[in-house]
Amino acid sequence: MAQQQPPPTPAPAETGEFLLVRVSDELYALPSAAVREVARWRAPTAVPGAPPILPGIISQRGVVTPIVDLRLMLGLAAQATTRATRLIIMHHESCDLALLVDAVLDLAALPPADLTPPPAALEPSRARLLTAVARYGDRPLALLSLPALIAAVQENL
Amino acid sequence: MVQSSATIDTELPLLLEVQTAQRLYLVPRSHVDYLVKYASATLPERDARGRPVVGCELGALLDPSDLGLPPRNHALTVALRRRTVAMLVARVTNLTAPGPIQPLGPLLTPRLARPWLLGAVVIADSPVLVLDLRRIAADVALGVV
Repeated sequence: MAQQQPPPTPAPAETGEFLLVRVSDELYALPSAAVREVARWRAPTAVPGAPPILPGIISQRGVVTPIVDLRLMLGLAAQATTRATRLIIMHHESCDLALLVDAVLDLAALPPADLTPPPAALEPSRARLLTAVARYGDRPLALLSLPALIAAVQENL
Repeated sequence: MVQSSATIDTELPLLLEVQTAQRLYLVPRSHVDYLVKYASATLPERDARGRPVVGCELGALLDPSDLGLPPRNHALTVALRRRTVAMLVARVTNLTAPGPIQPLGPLLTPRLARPWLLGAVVIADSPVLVLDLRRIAADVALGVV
């Protein structure tokens, strides 16, 4: 049976503010409007029967919040947590989640002129999670779509 | 009409704090028919009404690495129509009503391998999972685990 794909999220038309994070050795940008706070890594309560991309739950200001391992979502190797590991507490519609990333780098404004569509050669499973690509210094930077991330978590990956 | 906080508190379910070999869970008191202290070798073959007793280690059902109960342990007993299921745990430490049971949310709940969790309660800033013990017992009795 064919999987129903969510419609691609268009690249932002106005300059947006993004939280820049490192996942493995790659750089990604998250829309800052959806970010509630950035928390230090702490060991979660593991949930029996949950898939590896959902390694557990934490209490974030008294609210039970699932952790989503962004490294595994993107098909990257999960490294051991370090002092730089962060949980990005995000909210979208009725979903609260804590995105596990290897480090937070910066908060940056990205004008639309600096954004280009994701390369056509990118794997479809990864391309569907992106709205655009840009440069951060001399390094490539990919803008993540939070609705697409949530849809991907909810599907049987 | 404004409810007093005492009225709200009495509506919270009473929860048992259940320690497996390595982990802590909560179980609604209403899910447990009997709570018995056993040496693991002495589980009876049948209960007082003649139903076969099926014994299992609760922690290992949930997480295969959660093994190693002490020689004497507790059995959380759930009586079903044709069988009684005795789920062994290291100890049952408390009867408490620590706070509301929060759902695990739309991201996690549909992705669980089995519908064995009712949610979580935050205790000392850490979530503790609340088990649907009757559902677990039913699956054990059916032999699906």
